[in-house]
Amino acid sequence: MNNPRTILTTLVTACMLAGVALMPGCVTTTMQQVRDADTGIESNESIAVLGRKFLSRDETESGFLDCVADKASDGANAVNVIPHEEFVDDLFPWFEPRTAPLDVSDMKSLVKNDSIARRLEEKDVRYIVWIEGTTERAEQGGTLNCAVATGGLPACFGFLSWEAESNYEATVWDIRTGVTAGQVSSEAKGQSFVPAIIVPIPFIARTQAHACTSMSKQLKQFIAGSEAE
Amino acid sequence: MVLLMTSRFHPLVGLALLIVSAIVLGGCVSGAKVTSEMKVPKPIVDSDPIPMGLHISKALSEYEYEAKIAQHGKYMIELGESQQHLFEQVFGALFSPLVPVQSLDEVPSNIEGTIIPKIIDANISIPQQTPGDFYEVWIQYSIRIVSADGEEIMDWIVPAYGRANRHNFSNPLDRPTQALEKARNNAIRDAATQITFNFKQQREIRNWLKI
Repeated sequence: MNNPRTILTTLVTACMLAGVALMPGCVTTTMQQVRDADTGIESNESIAVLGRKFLSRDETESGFLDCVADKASDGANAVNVIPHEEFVDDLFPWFEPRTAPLDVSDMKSLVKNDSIARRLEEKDVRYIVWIEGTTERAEQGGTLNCAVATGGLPACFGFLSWEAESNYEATVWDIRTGVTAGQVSSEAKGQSFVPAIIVPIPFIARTQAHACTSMSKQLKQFIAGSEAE
Repeated sequence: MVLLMTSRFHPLVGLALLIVSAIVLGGCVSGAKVTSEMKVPKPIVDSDPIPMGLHISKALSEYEYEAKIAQHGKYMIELGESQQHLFEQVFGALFSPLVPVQSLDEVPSNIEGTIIPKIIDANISIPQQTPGDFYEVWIQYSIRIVSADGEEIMDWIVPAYGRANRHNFSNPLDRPTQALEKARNNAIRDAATQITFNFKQQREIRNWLKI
């Protein structure tokens, strides 16, 4: 049971299974920015990162919102971020799918409500960042078959590939001035593939992670008022 | 490779097989049971100084919905446990004070009327039944209002809807339960939103309370 060959085999199998999951595919990222007004933020002020929710359309993945919130609150130009769930709970029920303001003029009307204005002030919310978009898979092809081979080990043969595309846009509302400060968008495309000869070896294009990194970096620069690199 | 195929079972190989099996079986997980209670935030809304009663029936507080979906198993959601909290939060924000009414035969004399919510029907849908990626929950409420002298003021139907994208839940084994729970919570939030915004806008209520 514990002879060196068996242990070696086991370790090789375990390493391959764990290691291959980290192999990245190629990703191309494009960023764009439209500025409609000057921006800037004080150290005590915050931004709320919100996902636009619809009752009948696709909505932005919560993992992407969390990722942008995490990365925007870290590193150079870091800002205080109020995550989606916390913000919509604190302002319940004014930011639910049925009731959330659709444009900045709706927001201006909302802020006229003293209770809402007070709550926003308590939380020092300066900007609301609305994120829309999703990650989609396209052009999936190939086949991969797995079976249990002699000795009880699974073995796979074949080749799978697909293209993933992550398209996200963030619209920034300045609560203090009541204007749309601008938009920041991030698009990441990548090809993933999984060749398998006994062991499948996935090369995954992490398009959503790339889109998140570029959007949060760009968002921080945009809010700080500096130009994109 | 020959070595791989002929080697005897080692505990680590067993673990690797378990992980592979879990990933493979993740696509075939059937059924889900949602039993947790949820908390609705207190709505930010102006309260009217009108004493109102709230009666939560046993049937409402124990309401469960179960669906057997062909080839996909049994799906069950507990709705009852969250109802008292939901209606206390919402009507407690709309009216002050909100008085609990234990029995409709012994209604306190110091209230304008009694609110009697009920779930008429519920339904669920899983992504395998639709072209989308969403677990969905529908809850149909009836909100009946009876004045202090026993007159029925209104029986208002509130259709609430919530959904959750399955891709927001990474663990394939827990995904149906977690997604269905999120969809149920969103449906309850939707009910709270609609009641908060629309209850006092109902013609019968405006006429009755002169608000």
